[in-house]
Amino acid sequence: MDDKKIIELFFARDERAIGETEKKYGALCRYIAGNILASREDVDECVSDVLLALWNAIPPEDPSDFCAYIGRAVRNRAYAVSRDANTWKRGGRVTVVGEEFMSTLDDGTDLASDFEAKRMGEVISNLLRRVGETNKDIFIMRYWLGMSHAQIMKQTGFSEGKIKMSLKRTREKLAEALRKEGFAEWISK
Amino acid sequence: MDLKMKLRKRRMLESLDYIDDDLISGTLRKIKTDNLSTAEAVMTWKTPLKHWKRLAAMAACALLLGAIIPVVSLVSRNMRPSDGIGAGEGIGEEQTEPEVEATEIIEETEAPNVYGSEGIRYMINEDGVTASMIGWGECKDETAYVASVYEGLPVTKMIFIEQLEGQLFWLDEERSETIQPDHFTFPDIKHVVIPDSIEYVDAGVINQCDYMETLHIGAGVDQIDGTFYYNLERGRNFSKITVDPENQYYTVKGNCLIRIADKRLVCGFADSVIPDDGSVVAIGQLAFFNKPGLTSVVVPEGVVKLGNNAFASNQDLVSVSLPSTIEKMDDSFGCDSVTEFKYAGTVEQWNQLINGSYTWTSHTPLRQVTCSDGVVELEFDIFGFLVGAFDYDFDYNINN
Repeated sequence: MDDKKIIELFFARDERAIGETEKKYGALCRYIAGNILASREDVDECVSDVLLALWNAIPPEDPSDFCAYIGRAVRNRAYAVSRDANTWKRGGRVTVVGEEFMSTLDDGTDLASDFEAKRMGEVISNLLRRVGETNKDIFIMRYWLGMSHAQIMKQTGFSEGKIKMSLKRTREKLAEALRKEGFAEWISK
Repeated sequence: MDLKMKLRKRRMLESLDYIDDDLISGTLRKIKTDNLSTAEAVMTWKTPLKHWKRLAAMAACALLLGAIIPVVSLVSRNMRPSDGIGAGEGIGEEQTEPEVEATEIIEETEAPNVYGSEGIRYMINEDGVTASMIGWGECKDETAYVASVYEGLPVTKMIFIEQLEGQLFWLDEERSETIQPDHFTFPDIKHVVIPDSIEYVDAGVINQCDYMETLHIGAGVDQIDGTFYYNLERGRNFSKITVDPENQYYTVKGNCLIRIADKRLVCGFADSVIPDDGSVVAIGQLAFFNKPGLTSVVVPEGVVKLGNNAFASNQDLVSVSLPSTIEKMDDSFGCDSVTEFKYAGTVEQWNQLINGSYTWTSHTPLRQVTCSDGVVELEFDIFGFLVGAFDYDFDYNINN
């Protein structure tokens, strides 16, 4: 069932909406949550929460991109669950990924406000539109989804070296983009 | 970790929440969740089948009771960092420092990857929601994988570029491209793999791979226009087609590609055996065109039609055997080497069969056909056409 029809079911308050969402995006939701949370039970709880949240949110929400909508919901809910229940993947890849991503910035950098975070998000988006489909996907898999190199290798078929090189170059381009956008003082030398 | 570092980490990762939806969904749609490694074990568990029903029941109860569950802000734009439940939270404020990345088993995937081989050209279709493969571009892979996704959109067509030459296509809001055909023979490409996302294939784009040896057709292909394979000199290594078992429109039997709907044999090779189980009733145009090593053809009973040039340009072909069920035969045997021609029907049936069929011209050395009740001597008029084969039917429909 396509996304539009699923959303129509939500609007019609048809309970099949949840089933169809689970059917189409359940595995993806668990994939996303599984990168953040440590146990199957937590993943289960996270996905359940999101499905219920969708039921309550649509309507009035009418997402234009249902896939991204759900992806964001799961990702952020998983972070919330991990914080609330202290179920973070300790020493796991998400934290490692965070460190790697932040290596773009100077140690003293602080995004002083949500506005700046949003501005940086725009810079990242603009950059990802220029780096090519493959590099964009690798970047999002690594930093947005928190996937390991091995997972990205499995998904894309690329070698680890190619993935690492792609990430490195994209981070370098991000640093350059931030400089051009007036954030030069943020960038690590 | 000092407070400043914690805050910096949180803000930095929050910025990822502002990446545009289309970029995120474009990647999410490519995630394969059915082939996870042990390192991803946490995601591999199966949800109880009735799990969603329980959720639905919970939701219904909530509605009935008029309960308002304050989780709306969890979702979508309301989930952005400054809002609602879970928005960018939990980014390590109270977490321990990472030590090492989890050890993981690294496995090379054998499945055709979603991105396809490098260098292949694509464009976004006019519908804006699908894409097409339009040429082999700079591809130099021995096995050329056509991508199943381009710019976040499913690749559903393989189009012969020469039909698009000079047309302007918009790749996105900022880029456009005037289509230019590939003028190369792509000698590096030996194997072509068409993914399951492809529904339409113009054989012309396949035929550009002059040195192709094998072709794999994915589960989604439901229409192949044109024929494989024209190139007399360089197309001689093409010898095998495989079809995904899930494909409902095409199948392979006896190394013959068969269109299931009308039981048409679309493409065969020197070692092919035309099935006699009723799965083939017609031999398509150029189906066995230029197949080096093809020395004999046995068309089984049940086949009623031979397409134009179905067995043409086979210099090694010496023996042909046709069934009595043949009802229509076009210029199917343009071969100079056939010396033995058997027809399972009677002489009378033969005379009816060639009436209306543009079967041979006088350049063909064959001068007689052996029928079940006698031999027919072939005669040619002064123009070189077979006597009796009037009302020539030049049926060059591409799908014949």
